[in-house]
Amino acid sequence: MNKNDIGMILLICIISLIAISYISSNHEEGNVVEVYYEDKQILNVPLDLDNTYQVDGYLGPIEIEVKDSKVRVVQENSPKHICSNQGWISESYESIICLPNKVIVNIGSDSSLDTIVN
Amino acid sequence: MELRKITKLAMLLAVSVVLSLIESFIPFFSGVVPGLKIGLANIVVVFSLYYFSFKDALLISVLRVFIMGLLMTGVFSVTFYFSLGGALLSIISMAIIKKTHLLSIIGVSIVGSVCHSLGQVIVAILILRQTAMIYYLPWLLLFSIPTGIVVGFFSQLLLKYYKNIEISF
Repeated sequence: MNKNDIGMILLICIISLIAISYISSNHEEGNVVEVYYEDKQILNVPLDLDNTYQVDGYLGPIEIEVKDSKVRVVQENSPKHICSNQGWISESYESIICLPNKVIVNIGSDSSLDTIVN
Repeated sequence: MELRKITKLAMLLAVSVVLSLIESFIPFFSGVVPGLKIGLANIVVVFSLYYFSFKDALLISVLRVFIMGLLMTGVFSVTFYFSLGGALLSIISMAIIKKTHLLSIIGVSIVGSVCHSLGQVIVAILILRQTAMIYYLPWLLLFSIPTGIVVGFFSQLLLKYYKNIEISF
């Protein structure tokens, strides 16, 4: 390793740490679960309503569970099962991405839902 | 291409496929960033880049993605393009950085690791037409440093010892 290597390592560390702190500090409180197939929204349900849902992915059905304001993928059909092993997400900057199924589970914030609740 | 070289490249390709297979059975830090792995097969790619040439390393890298596609996910599946995007951006950027002679083999390997993540995220954004993947990028970049160092370190060791082995060929 030489000086340039260490300089580059420090640069990457600084850039990624700034980005991580920016992402985790600047986000809205999530209240809806949004599920996308490619760029089409196929499911939009409240985060505080415990329930399980089933959507169709590219390789088969996907079971999504919402519980205690957290969401996870319970079951899907993919080679490595990365998204069902990922577990629960609860923050609006987190998402579950099931690439082989072209499905993304996001936590979004819907302001109209707030007014209904209020 | 010389027969001796073809044999060597075929052997290296086989090694990289085996490393990929072994790695696919080990879940690694999957809690922090889903699907993260060291990228052991890149040891072979970095080694080939230094020992042979960019063309040979590119050949090994692309053929490995094809073979892994056949073995694991199916060629031309979504994850196949994902792997191919990462592998291509990684090897091309490593070759460019190596030409500048600014970084050591470990630095070049870190660049490869970073660009692997970057390439995969770019392909994922193109396929899914969704930008949610971007939020993983800072984490992926951060983890690229240890994985890049590991890959670079082993490539360096391999380069050192391969020269001794070669005399007996």
